[in-house]
Amino acid sequence: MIMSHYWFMWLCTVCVGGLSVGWLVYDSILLRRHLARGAEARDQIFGSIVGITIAVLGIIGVLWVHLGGIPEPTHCLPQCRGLFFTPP
Amino acid sequence: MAADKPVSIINPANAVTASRFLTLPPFLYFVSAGMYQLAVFTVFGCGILDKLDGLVARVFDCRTDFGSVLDAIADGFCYGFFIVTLAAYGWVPWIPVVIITVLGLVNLYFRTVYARRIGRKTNYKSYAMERVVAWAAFLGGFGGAGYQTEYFFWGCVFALAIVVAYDAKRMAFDPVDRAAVPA
Repeated sequence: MIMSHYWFMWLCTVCVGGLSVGWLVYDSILLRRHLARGAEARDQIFGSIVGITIAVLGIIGVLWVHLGGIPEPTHCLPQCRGLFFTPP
Repeated sequence: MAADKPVSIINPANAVTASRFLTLPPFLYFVSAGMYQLAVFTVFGCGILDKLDGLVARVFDCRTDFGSVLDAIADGFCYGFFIVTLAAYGWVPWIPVVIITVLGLVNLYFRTVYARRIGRKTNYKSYAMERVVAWAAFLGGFGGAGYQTEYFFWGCVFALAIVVAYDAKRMAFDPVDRAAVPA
C-alpha cells in the first residue's frame, strides 16, 4: 500500500473529476469552433459531442461515488462512503 | 511527414510506444498479488507513455505510418489486457468486458475494409474513437481502484457502441476521397 485507502480514493476523485472538467471545457471550445465550420467538420463535431458526453458521465460518476457511495466496491472499505468519505 | 524524408521505424517515438508493453507484466503481478494501488499507477504509467510518444514524434520529427499503426495496436492490446486481466481476477464484471472486446474487433474489421477501399495502408482518423479510447484507458484504473466500476464500464459500452456504428458507416459506406486521405 502506497497510501491509505481513504487518500487513494480522494486521489481518484481529484484525478477523474479534474480531468472530466478539463475535458468538458476543452471539447466545448472545440465544438464551438467546429460548428462555425459547418458540415465539412461533421466528424470533428461528432467527436466533440462524444467527448462532452463522456466528460459529463465522468462528473456524474464522481458525484455518484461521493453522494451515493460505491455500490459494489471491490476494495472499498466502509469509510469510503458519503460526500467527503469518513476521515480515517 | 514520412513522405518528406525517409524515417526509420526504429526511432525514439516507436521506442516509447513499444515500451508500453513493459507495463503489462508488472500490472499482472500487482493484480494477482492484490496490490490494487500499484496496479492503478501502472495503468496510469501506460497512459502517460501513450501521450508521450506523440510528443516525442513531434520533437524528433520521426512520425511514420508504422508508428501510427503501432500506437493503435498498443492502445488496443494494453488497454484490452488491463480490463481482461481485471475481469479474469473478478475485479470487474465480465459482460461489459466481452462486449467492449467484440466491439473493438468489429471496429478493427471495418478499418481493414476502409484500408481496402482506399487501396493502401492507412489508419482511419476517428475523432470520436479517440475520446472513447481515452475512456477505455481509464477503465483499467476504475477497475483497479474499484471506483464506480459497473457504472463506468457500462457507460463505456454505451459510448463505444454508438461510435463503432457511426465509424462503420463512414468507413464502409460513405464515399471516400482517396486523394484527401493522408498517406
